[in-house]
Amino acid sequence: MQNDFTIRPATLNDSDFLVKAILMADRGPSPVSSYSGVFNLSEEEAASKIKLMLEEELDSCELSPEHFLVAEKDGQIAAAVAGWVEGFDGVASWMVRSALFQEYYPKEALENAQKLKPVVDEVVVHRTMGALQLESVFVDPAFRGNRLATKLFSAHVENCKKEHPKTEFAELMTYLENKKAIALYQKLGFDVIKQSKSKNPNVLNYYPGSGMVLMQIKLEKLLTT
Amino acid sequence: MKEIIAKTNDIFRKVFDDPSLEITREMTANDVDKWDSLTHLTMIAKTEETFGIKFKLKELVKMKNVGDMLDKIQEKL
Repeated sequence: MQNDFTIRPATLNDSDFLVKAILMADRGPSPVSSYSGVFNLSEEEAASKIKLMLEEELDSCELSPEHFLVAEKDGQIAAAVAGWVEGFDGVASWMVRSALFQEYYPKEALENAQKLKPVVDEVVVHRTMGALQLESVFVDPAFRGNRLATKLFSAHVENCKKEHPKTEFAELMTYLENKKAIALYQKLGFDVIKQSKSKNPNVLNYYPGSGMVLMQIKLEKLLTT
Repeated sequence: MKEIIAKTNDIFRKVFDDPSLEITREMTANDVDKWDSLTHLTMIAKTEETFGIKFKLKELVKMKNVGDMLDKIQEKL
């Protein structure tokens, strides 16, 4: 059954699924995503802005269709994972994301984020420059159980070894409360290398978790073939 | 360029809350303690306001260091 899926690079035509992947992967089991919570926007408003950001087709962060691989079956997208090497062109992914937020989010939303700076500082964890980032890992519930995330990880690693042969590690991030995802990644061989936790009692109104977990693995361990 | 550097230095000192900070062309976010996603937004907004310019999105994401930003400011004045 697994072999019926085709893995291919995403295009802008897939943007509706990619927006869903970005938001659902960020949320995990929480009702709020950081894309809405930190900025006091509804999930629908955040989704419409993210779609516009994807249309810019910028490099170097998860808000770019060209960094996504998707798994497809009979013309239907079943899963997506973004992958890029952090800082490969000299610019950190957070800087690209900041520029996109500045361009597309309303002024009031950015002011709201500024007011929450103490919480943001407690939660945010920085990625390792030069490591392959696996982000926005999302499998449509109807297609779970086909090891699609693992297959997409492996495909990203294969691409990375060709395009950035010096890369040694892959990383991914999730939130502290997403225990299911953490357990799954640990089973694949990821180790926790950084962790944050906010003391703010309202943190779960802004973020899907009270802190972030950065996990790392040797690139080769993700190859399935 | 001297005036651009002086004004930019002043912006950096205020935004990153470091009165002794001296910018260099090679300086990046890794070199400044409080340079993160939110202070970055403030720094860009203050720079645009001070010089009466507006950076395009694609210009912002190509600036690898302070030197790139200084050159872009000069180009826009």
